[in-house]
Amino acid sequence: MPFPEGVYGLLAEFDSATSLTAAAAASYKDGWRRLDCYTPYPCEEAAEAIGFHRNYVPLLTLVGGLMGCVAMFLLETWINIWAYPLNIAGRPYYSWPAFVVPAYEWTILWAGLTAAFGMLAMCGLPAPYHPLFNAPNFRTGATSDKFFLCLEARDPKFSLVESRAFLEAMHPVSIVEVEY
Amino acid sequence: MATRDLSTNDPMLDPITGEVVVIAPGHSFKSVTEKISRIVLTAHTPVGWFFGLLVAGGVVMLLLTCLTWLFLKGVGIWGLDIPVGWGFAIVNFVWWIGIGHAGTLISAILLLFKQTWRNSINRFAEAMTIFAVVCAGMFPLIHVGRPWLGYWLFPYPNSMSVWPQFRSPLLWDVFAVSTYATISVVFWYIGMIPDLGTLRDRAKTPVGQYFFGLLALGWRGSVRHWMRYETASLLLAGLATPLVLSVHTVISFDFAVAIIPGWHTTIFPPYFVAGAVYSGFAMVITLAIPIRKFYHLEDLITIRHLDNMGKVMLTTGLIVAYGYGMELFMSWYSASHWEYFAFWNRLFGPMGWSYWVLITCNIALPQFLWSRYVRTHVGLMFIMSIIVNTGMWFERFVIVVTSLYRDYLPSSWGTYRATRWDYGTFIGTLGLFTFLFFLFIRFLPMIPMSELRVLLPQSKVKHLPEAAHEAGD
Amino acid sequence: MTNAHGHATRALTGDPAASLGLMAGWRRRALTFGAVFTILAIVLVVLAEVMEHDKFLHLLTSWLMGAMLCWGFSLGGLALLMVQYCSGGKWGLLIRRPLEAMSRTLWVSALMFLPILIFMKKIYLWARYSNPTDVAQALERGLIDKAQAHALNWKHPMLSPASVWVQIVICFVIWFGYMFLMNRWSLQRDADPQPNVPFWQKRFENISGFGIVVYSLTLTALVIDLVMSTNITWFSTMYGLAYLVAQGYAVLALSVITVVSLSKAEPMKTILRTTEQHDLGKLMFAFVMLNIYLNFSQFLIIWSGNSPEEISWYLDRIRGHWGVIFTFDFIFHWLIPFSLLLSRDIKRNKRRIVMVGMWMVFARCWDMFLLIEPNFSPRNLHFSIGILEYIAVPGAMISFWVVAYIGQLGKRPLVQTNDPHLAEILEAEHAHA
Repeated sequence: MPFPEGVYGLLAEFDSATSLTAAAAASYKDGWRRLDCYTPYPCEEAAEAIGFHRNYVPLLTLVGGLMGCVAMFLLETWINIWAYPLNIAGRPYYSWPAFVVPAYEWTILWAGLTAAFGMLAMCGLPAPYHPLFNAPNFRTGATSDKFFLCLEARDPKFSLVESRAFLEAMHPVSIVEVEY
Repeated sequence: MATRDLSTNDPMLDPITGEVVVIAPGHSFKSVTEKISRIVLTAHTPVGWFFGLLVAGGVVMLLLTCLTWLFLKGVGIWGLDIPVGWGFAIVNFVWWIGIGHAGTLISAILLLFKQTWRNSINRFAEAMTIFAVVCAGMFPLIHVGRPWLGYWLFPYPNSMSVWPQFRSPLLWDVFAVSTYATISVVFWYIGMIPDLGTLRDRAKTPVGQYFFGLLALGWRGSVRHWMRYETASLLLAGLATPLVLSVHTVISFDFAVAIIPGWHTTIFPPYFVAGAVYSGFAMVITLAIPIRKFYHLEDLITIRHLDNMGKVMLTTGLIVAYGYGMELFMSWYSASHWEYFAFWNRLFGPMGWSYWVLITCNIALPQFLWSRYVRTHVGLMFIMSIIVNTGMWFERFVIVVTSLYRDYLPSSWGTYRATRWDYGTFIGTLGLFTFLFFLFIRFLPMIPMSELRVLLPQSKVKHLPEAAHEAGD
Repeated sequence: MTNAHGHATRALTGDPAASLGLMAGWRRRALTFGAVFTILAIVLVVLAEVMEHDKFLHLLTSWLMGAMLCWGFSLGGLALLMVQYCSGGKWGLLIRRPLEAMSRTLWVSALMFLPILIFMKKIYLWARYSNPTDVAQALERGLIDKAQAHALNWKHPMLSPASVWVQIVICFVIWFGYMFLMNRWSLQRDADPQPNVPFWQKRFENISGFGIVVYSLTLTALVIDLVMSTNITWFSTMYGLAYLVAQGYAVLALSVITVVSLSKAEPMKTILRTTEQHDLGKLMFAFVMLNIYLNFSQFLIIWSGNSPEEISWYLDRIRGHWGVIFTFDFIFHWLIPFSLLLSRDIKRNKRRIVMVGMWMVFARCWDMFLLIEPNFSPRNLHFSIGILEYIAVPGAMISFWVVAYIGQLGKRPLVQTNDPHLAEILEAEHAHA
């Protein structure tokens, strides 16, 4: 894939979550789909406003957990019945009550690892480089106290002049053109 | 019960809603960020920090000396013998793991219960978990005698065609503790990613930018990311809660699955878990009080936190007391001579003093926590936390040693005396824990900035019609 | 309308009479069920007497099961009431009045215990052989074995008719005291012209904190006396705690059923937001997990120890057809509610969460059967008419208890108004929380 060139999008800065959410909602209503909001803390309303309602991390976690559980239980069963059967104080080879414990631990282990790494993968992280970091106000403010709305050039509605005018109507603190 | 006058003047209660105010008023997103990130990013490390690190480092040297001698000579240098084959090593193991649990619980359970007061203390509580698990995990490993063969504990195909024995709680422990260590680190790290992003963006030195930039994984605060991130955090919290329960439960199985009187009792799982939380919260207080003083974080770790943690300690302490009570009661009710003797011996035998230390520290003195005055008094809470930590160490000592040294057969009775290497190793792990903690508070954000921002009143999104109305003014 | 936080709020309007109408309907239904079960119970008892010469044993043991369940609701209601005052949280406000109503039915369960105490000789070995001479004679005649004889003599200070009477009377006096104060203050709080929020919060916290301690101890004493001692030799230190959690499991399920069903009408229609319903669902999930955790731990420890003093209790419940009941117990009270409550959609759907709640109450009944009956027919379950009494008698008792509960529920407004959580609950909620 060739390295993209040109404009990544238009980045509008806001100073409160409320004005960001209002702007995001207006853009979504206007038909924008390739857009994103950037906030220094989780802002559910802004996510709702750009049409992001449901994510698939829970499903992934459930699958991961079940896999861990089944894997460990089968391993224990196989070891104790076929690979290395031992008589321990007369307990049956298939001592399911004892097998529950490690299987339980592995359920949690694999569910937890899938939740964490699945989340990162779905977010496309790690991504040390991102065009947005080229915007100076994004670098200094996005992770501390500023709120951003980015209309991306990938959206068919995007046009440097009209989109800028559209954003200006929402009274942002500033608008920056972000290059790749 | 007449608390009308006292409580209406409480500055930490919102007079209208009665809700708890967790952060002192007057902070903004910027000031919170500034206050916490400065501790990490400053070029001027406080001298006190170097001093502390030096002292802790000295104690780590003691640990290394003890371990070297242990590896050279074997576990014979400890006071272990028949009949007490589990001495300090296991006492310390259980004690440390228990301390770790409060960290996870503060993070996980309080997150699930939407208790926002946790937000200022969860990060360093989680760090405490990890360092405690490091100290804890070491003990069974060095206790096995040949720690370099520790990997034999895991089920892997090997040329000896031998597999681990899955009906033993000691093997369950391997899975419980390794899972716990892994999930704690993951939970801690995932929780830190947004703050690492903040530090990356605020770091002035190239080394800092590179270091935090690498760790932040390119976090940029997209709301889509935030939503997945929040879900994952909640899920990890939801998983960590039963994990904490299971870890200490499995540790209690180490004892309860055996049929030794004093060990074999069904209340062990819940009462071990409660005891773990009890000592863990005590350790959080022990750490929080000096830190808030030293770094002037009284606005963020408030008296309200101490009060709440005091209540948690009181609750878990009472559950533990219920456990002791039931053990004692059932040793009579069981109508079993062995049970009865085990407890008579525990109370009045040659090592009975340890039981009374335990009762004093864990049950009698903590009853002062019923008093609001004690719970909101910084000095008294610090003393209380030390008392509980001591008491919980003695609880494990009582369980391990006094159940073992006089069992069924009088001819095999013995006693237990710890050697200087036992004490050295234990004190050494205290040093290791402190050492790691000093590194943590200097190089990583000890209070989650992104979560504190949510606590500020201006973080709320006002309803759109109202917002429009305000804009119109 | 806006409150201090600048949020739009909804008002608490609407006619509460609709709720009373709902309750009247439930009451009629409960009365009908009660009547049907009573008739069925009488028929079964007569048949058991005539055909099996049961000597009213199953009537009494199934009565014990019914009494323990109803008592569980009333005392458990009181306990959960105290817990929610201490823990805080908006969910507490929602179920406060239903819990108060449950606690006010304590006298019903007190009455239900009377027949058990009067006819205790039929049920309990310790009541039948209450002195060393009787025990020695019974041992000689082979009515009890050596272990039982030893246990009977040893445990006599706690388990003798007089001692048990005294313990139960003391327990009930304490519970009535707490019940009276909690209910009285709740009304006084509503009548207070000033909000006095910290004052009332502290007052309730202070009584509840200590109350929970007292509750745990008295509950442990009572269940050891009345349930655990149906097997005189067996003991388990976890028993009281496991029983306590199981009680919370059923009480929470019942309060969720009540609140969600009442939300068809005002004021619950306004008060019950999806957020808090979801929270209650999570709490149910927590109890499901805690319950299996305690029970499985107890099982694993005793199974691993495999010592003759303890294992017999499980063998009584696993051998023969009891194994089927035991397996179903696991499926009913853990697997099914666990799988259902994992789903966020089920927790947020009114009809479904009520179904889950009902299932949990049923599972608790099943569990109670397994706690009691195997002590009277150990090692194998044989079908008999007497066993069927375990459906009819507790069924009738619970139905009549529900009549009393709904009667109490209708006596007070369904929402406590003098509480800061009310304003928060009346705020419009987030889309997802």
